Amino acid sequence: MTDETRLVAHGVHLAYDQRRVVHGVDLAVPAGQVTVIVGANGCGKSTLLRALGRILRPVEGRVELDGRDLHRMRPREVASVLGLLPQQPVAPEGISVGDLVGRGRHPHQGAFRRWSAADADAVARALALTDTQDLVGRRVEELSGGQRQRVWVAMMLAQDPRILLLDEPTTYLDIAHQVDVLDLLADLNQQRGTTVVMVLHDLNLAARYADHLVVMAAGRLVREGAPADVLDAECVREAFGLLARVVADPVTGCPMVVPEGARERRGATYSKVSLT
Amino acid sequence: MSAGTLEHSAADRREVAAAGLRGARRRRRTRRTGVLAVLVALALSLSGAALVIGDFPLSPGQVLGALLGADDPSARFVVVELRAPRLLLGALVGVAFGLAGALFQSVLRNPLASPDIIGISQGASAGAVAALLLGGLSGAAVSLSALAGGAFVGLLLYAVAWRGGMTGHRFVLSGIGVAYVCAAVVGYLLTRSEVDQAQVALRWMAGGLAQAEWGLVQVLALALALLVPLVALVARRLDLLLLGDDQAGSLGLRPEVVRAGVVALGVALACAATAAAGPVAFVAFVAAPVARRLLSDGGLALAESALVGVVLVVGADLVAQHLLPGDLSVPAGVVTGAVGGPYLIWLMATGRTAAR
Repeated sequence: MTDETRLVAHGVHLAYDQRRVVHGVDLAVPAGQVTVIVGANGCGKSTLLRALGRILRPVEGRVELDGRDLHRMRPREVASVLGLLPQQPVAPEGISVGDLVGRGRHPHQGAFRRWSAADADAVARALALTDTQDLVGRRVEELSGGQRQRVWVAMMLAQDPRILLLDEPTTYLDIAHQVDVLDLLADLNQQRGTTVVMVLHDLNLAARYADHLVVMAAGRLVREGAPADVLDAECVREAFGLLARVVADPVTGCPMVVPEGARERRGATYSKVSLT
Repeated sequence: MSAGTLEHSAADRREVAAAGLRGARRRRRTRRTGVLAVLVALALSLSGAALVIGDFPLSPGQVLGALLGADDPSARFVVVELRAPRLLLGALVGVAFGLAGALFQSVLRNPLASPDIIGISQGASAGAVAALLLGGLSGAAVSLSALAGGAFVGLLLYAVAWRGGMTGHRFVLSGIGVAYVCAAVVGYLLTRSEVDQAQVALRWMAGGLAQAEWGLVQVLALALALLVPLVALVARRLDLLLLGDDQAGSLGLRPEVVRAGVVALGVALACAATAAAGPVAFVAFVAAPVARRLLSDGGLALAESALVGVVLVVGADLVAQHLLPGDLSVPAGVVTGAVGGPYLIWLMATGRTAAR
């Protein structure tokens, strides 16, 4: 359970072309836990995730994996430890689920080594873990959004990394499928000790699934810690510029954010029937 | 999903997954073998026809005899010195164009990104026409000049489109711009030259196999013997690149390096083929989409694209030489162009360009 693979960002500055997006972030990703990064649109959370996944090289500072500079390690070596699911992954036209998940085996295959029994085992295990075993022969483009997201997670699992990085894995999913994918990731974390780092938009889901919540605003890390300690009305106002009340989630007791928009402050009343 | 978890144990689901994977792999292999067999059979029968059909009538037996060294000087001359090099040149050109198109279209994720649209062929044409009309050169010198022209365009495009990673549409649009510049150069050179010289240049630009001889076949075969293994080496990585840069990067690839390598190979293949046979229109453009549609498994279909290229060039040359009435005999490139144009229109009509 206690996997001590350490992923740490030291004073990381990130930029696209000349435009700086992230200004000096220090973040130690807790091993074996679920870390969720939240923040307003354009605050640099996805950019930070891309740097943690070796996709984007910091212009200043560095990301370390087990004490080694991530961007100086061999890509294949990194890939056997770190898996990243981009916000909008692209599936080649016509590819089947089995083939797509099989692509995840690349870091474990040599330049000439073809498909092995170990690869087949890893793919079967990944499909079973994500409960996508019945989709093997289907084409990825025929799947529903929720199924597709499970298949992408399966591909990461076939890669067999100890750290999973996911950029908004619940985008475009309805609420039931959002919970479904997050439950799957939480199970993987609990049962296999996989470290999970993800960017989420929904603060309430973030608070519910995170062991460690990271709040970003304008390219800086403004708060981090257990959701109960971090997520309060002040934090929401600071990160999103939104007035909100934070109450206890009736299901889990986690903090739950209820926005107070401008209309409420003007004293708008609601004629709809109240639940209570 | 929770229903599934309750119904099956983890071991059950793994067994289902493993069985499904085996089945899917088997089906794909069967399909692939079938497609390959059909394409090989088609290529072989076209080759047979190319050796047998002609102004000098020969029976299949005579052709076989000539190839095996039977003592029939006239049959031997026609088959070994005329028809065989022309056939082999066509096959090699088909392989090179088919692979070049497949590489470009997949690495730039755009079906319009074939060397005859993004300016590589036009660059080679400009090089060849300049050598013919300005330098008064011929033969190998023209081929070398074509090679230089195509390679120059490839480098130029790479430099232009490099900024911030190469997106497919930027590369394609820059390429179309370059193609027009090259066409302008060719037009200028043609209008400034004598009619008989201009005709030689025009013939070259149509693309064809009439210039075939063993020396040319050897040079192109040597180039392919060098390039094709490199394509095989890069194929697995290119496969991953189809998942997008971020995903490919997180699977342990350096996307920029792979892309540079693939583009370089594509330029080299397209230039080699163009130098040998002129810009045989649309072969690079249609080969890979046809091959992929035949396989339809989301793979690169490189071997299949090469075979489709062979079938197209050899078939088009057969049609151009023999099936058109009387003295209408034209270069193979005219036939491929006549087929490729409608294909482009069909491609547009069915909206396949949306496939990124």
